[in-house]
Amino acid sequence: MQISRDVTEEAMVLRVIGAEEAWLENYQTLMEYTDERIRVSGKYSEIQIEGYGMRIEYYGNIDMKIQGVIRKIQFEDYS
Amino acid sequence: MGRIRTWLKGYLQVYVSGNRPERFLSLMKHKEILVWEVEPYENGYLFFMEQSKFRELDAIRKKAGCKLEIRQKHGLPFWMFRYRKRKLLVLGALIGCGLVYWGSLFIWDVNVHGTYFYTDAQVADYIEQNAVQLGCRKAEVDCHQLEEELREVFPEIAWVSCEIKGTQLNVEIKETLEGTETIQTDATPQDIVAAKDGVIVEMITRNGTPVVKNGMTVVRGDTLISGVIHIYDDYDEVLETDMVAADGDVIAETVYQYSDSFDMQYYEKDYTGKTQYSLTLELGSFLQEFRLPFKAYDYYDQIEENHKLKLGHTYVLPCSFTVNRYQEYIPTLHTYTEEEARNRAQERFQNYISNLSEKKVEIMENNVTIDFRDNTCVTVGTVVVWERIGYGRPLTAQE
Repeated sequence: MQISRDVTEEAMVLRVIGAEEAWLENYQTLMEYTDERIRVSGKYSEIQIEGYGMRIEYYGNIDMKIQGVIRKIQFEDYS
Repeated sequence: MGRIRTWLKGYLQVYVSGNRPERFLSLMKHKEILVWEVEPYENGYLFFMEQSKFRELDAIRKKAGCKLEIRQKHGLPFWMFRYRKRKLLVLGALIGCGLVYWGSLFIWDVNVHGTYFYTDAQVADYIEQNAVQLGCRKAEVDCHQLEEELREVFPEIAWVSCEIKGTQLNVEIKETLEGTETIQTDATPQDIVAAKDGVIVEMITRNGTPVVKNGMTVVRGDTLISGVIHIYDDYDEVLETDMVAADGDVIAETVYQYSDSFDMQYYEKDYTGKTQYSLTLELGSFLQEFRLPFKAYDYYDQIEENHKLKLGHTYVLPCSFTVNRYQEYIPTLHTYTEEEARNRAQERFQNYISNLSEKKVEIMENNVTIDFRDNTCVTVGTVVVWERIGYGRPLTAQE
């Protein structure tokens, strides 16, 4: 049985619905949060979500939900 | 349910500001403190969190070098604190909530939809009198059993579904389609006999021995198709006698006598425009009418509008009010002219013909005359129809 990488490597999991909602799991730190940009870092990478009207609907230790008009998603690998 | 739980525990809107408010949020995340509706505000962030976790923020605040400010407080703990000097109000509110919950455990309304042959009220009355009384506990209602009982008591029902929503019992009914006939599956030996007098015009025998043929006149009780079958040998002697369930369609020409009359004089209501109102309150079986002490009209129409009280869409309360409207009229005597009377007589005759057509008869001819005698309009005549006249009569042992 193959175990998914978000469990073995603690990789971040990002799910996007349309261009209005995004769910993020396995993140570690909220780096930046403004109306236009949300930057979140995980163990080995960073995700930057840009748009406007960005709002964090909830932010917990397991997952967070972002709402707004998403225009761009950028990944940056630390390795 | 989650929102109710959060409200019961109490929650706050907090404003965090300082050098690194993002770090503050991240540290909250590591402490497993859930926050929601986070939004940037001035130099920091606004967010909502549970009131019970607020004390844990002090250590995080110092670590992140931020300032905290409570902007709003919501929930039961704060509401009770606000009304701490009004204990009876709080008690009353709690009792009210308890009563609402307790009331939701019972059935207070029966709703019937989809009837055609039967009326909604007919089915609802049967249910309330025999199966599910208003005010009974929801746990005592067996919907499956009720569905079977309704199918048994009301034979025209083809499909029925019972469902409890809130405090309402909803009954959805589909009746048998018009024009469908019950298929005879009973194999009991029988004859097909005439239910009325007539002249045979068409005959199809599916089983049994035909006794009559087209053109013959039959009277009520005559055997049309016999269920006795004789098997003959080569010498035309009866070899064997068998008894079967005779089956077939026998159509005969029959005559319906039509007779109708009505008075040439009639009363018409001339409404004066005056209206009185009264209100009736109903709580379970208790009724109380409230009315202003006006003199009642001599002649009036009474229109009642009943309104059941509800919380939301499905929580029907065991109380209702009825607005009674009394519209005064003066009865004035009028007389039909001959032409008006003829038109009315024709209309009534057409209604009769329509009702007859619904019984699956074919109308061939009608002869009616309209006459005026002693201030009365009289309509008499005959209607010639073709219809099925056979019905099954079980064979006796002697036969």
